[in-house]
Amino acid sequence: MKALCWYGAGDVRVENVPDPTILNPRDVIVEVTATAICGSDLHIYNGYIPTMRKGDILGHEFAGVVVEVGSKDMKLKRGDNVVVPFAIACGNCFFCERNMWSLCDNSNPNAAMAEAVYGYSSAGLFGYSHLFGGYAGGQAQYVRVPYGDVGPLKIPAGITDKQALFLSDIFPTGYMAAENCNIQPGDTVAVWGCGPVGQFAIRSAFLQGAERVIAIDHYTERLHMAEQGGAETINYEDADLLDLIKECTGGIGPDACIDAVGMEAHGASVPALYDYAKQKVRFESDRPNVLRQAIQACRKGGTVSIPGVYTGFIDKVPFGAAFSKGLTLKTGQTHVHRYMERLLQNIVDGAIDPSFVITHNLKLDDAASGYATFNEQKGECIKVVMTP
Amino acid sequence: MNSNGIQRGMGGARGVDIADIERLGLTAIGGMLTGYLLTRKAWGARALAMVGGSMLYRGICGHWPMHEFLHADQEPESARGIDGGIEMHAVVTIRSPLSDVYNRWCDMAAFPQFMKYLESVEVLSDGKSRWTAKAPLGTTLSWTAEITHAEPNQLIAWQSVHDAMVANAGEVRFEEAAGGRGTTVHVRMAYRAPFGSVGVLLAKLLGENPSHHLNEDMKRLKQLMETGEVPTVEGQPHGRQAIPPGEERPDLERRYGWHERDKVEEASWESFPASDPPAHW
Ligand SMILES: NC(=O)c1ccc[n+]([C@@H]2O[C@H](COP(=O)([O-])OP(=O)(O)OC[C@H]3O[C@@H](n4cnc5c(N)ncnc54)[C@H](O)[C@@H]3O)[C@@H](O)[C@H]2O)c1
Ligand SMILES: [Zn+2]
Ligand SMILES: [Zn+2]
Repeated sequence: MKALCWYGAGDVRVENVPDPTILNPRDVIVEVTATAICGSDLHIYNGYIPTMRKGDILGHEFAGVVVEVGSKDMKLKRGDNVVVPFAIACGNCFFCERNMWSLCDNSNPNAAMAEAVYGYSSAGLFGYSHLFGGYAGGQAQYVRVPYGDVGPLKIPAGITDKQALFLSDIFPTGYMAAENCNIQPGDTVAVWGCGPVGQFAIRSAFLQGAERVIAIDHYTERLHMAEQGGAETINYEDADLLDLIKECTGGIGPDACIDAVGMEAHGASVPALYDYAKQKVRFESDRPNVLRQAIQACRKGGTVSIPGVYTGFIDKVPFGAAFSKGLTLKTGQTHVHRYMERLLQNIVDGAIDPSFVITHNLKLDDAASGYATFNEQKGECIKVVMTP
Repeated sequence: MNSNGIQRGMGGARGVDIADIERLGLTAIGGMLTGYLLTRKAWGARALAMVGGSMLYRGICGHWPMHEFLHADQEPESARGIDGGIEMHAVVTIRSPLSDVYNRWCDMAAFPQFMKYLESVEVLSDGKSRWTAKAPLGTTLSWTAEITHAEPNQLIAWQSVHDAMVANAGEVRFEEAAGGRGTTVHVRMAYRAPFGSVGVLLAKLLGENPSHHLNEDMKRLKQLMETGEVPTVEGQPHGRQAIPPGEERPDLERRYGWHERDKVEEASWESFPASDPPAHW
């Protein structure tokens, strides 16, 4: 089959590789019909995710058709059309049972490695380094899906693959980012980053009852898409961001701040340049520029919700500000399984059509150029979807 | 900090077998050593971190679980520099009822399902069993063990028979986890290999961090009991056939030992800051 493989920073290629096979009783094999590139994939593409191995197959957002089912009895059968959560979860452990699917205790075969780095291991993830299990990803013609009896969600007739595709990650991610803000009627939420995750966070905040959403980025096209979702926007290059946020919230500050940017934040301030320098020479693994701003901007007693990915160590986080203002910090990989059905219902009801975010439709063969475009031309390119 | 000093301190006492003051000292030094080494990418220092770990463990517990087994008749060997043997311990909480977990441990023939380097366990008569472990280069190590103590749903202890090639002892304790979270299993094991080739094989088999393998085995038991399978990525597709030979990193074997599963080529490992990765990896 064809699959998009990683060979190093900036080096991904579509190669011919063997087809996946069933390895465990609860596995299913899915023939991919639509797969997307995520902002998280760019962290790998740019070489910031440790424990990648040359030849690893990327991709964790995919939908397709079940073509093979393992030996265990399950509801899924061949021919079912499904969308698959990016977090791999067993459905049996303490964490799955408590609805914390991305923290599954059992799905990471390399748990020992993650324990050494993080203390305890979270769930395995598709196509996201050996630290998270080394699972082959879904930017391919076929993909093996473990725990097929708990993960994949059937796509009902009348909903297209491209409408359902983002239930695998970014819609639940934006939704959980908003839910983590514990939004009360009348609340103002500030969202850093108008990439796909930011876009879904904006719309989810409104679905959850926010009165105002302030969206921050520096690409006009992305800011424009945020406005279409109902947000007021700030181009952070035009203004002293923190002053402006204070000003437009009547001197109170946003009730909640969402960091939908993560470890590769852009910036030209002194701390941001310091991060660039340190990350370049690997003294710092992540650039927490946005996290700093979100903590600083948040109103007293507010919440900072962090869907943006961080992997390692960050410097000069204003923890005193977080402490003094009594902030709540919420973070983590999305518990996708928790939200899929609920959000599918929103799509069926017509409350939202997630395909609004797609700007580029490509063939899987062109995946390498898809990565380059998504990485370098963020203005016009907001979400790339590929079909094999 | 040398091991002779520690052993002298143990001088024949029973129960709590090291003096309080010494225990405090061991805990502090052990903690510092472990803490320090766990924050560094000092591959060569892993052995030291283990020394630190067992000092810390012993300092806290006061009493070395395998003490008698390891040190009772050590004189001739320690004189030759083998010094006690290899200890390991692991703890895991399994979301299954106490009796299920205990019964699983009574089914010794099924141990290879979750103990990766075990080839077979053959149950013999009168509480004895024959163990065969996979060793490097297609060789095997075997020994006979007998159950020395068993209390249903609480404890199983075993020891190798008198003239076993690989002397070993161990105990597994079972208890209900707090908050109804299942069953907590504590395993402690110790091996003492003879001098010579068997000893070398055993040391290779166990690697630089023997508890690591025991931990992995316990995790597999948990996975098997909770989900009915052990997660794996062995045998899945990848694009490594497209990599020209010679581009694989040559120092892998040295860095990760000979074990298959450890062989993650961390092509982007350098993205962690120089001082960050913990000593284990
Ligand atoms: N928690 C999860 O489970 C989860 C799931 C998916 C994605 N993510 C993470 O969410 C983040 C965003 O993902 P995406 O797909 O939207 O990525 P993306 O790269 O398309 O979007 C990031 C956006 O942030 C903007 N940005 C950069 N620096 C900024 C700054 N200083 N201030 C304001 N905006 C800034 C960029 O211009 C870009 O529009 C990534 O870190 C990704 O890894 C997390
Ligand atoms: Zn993603
Ligand atoms: Zn689980």
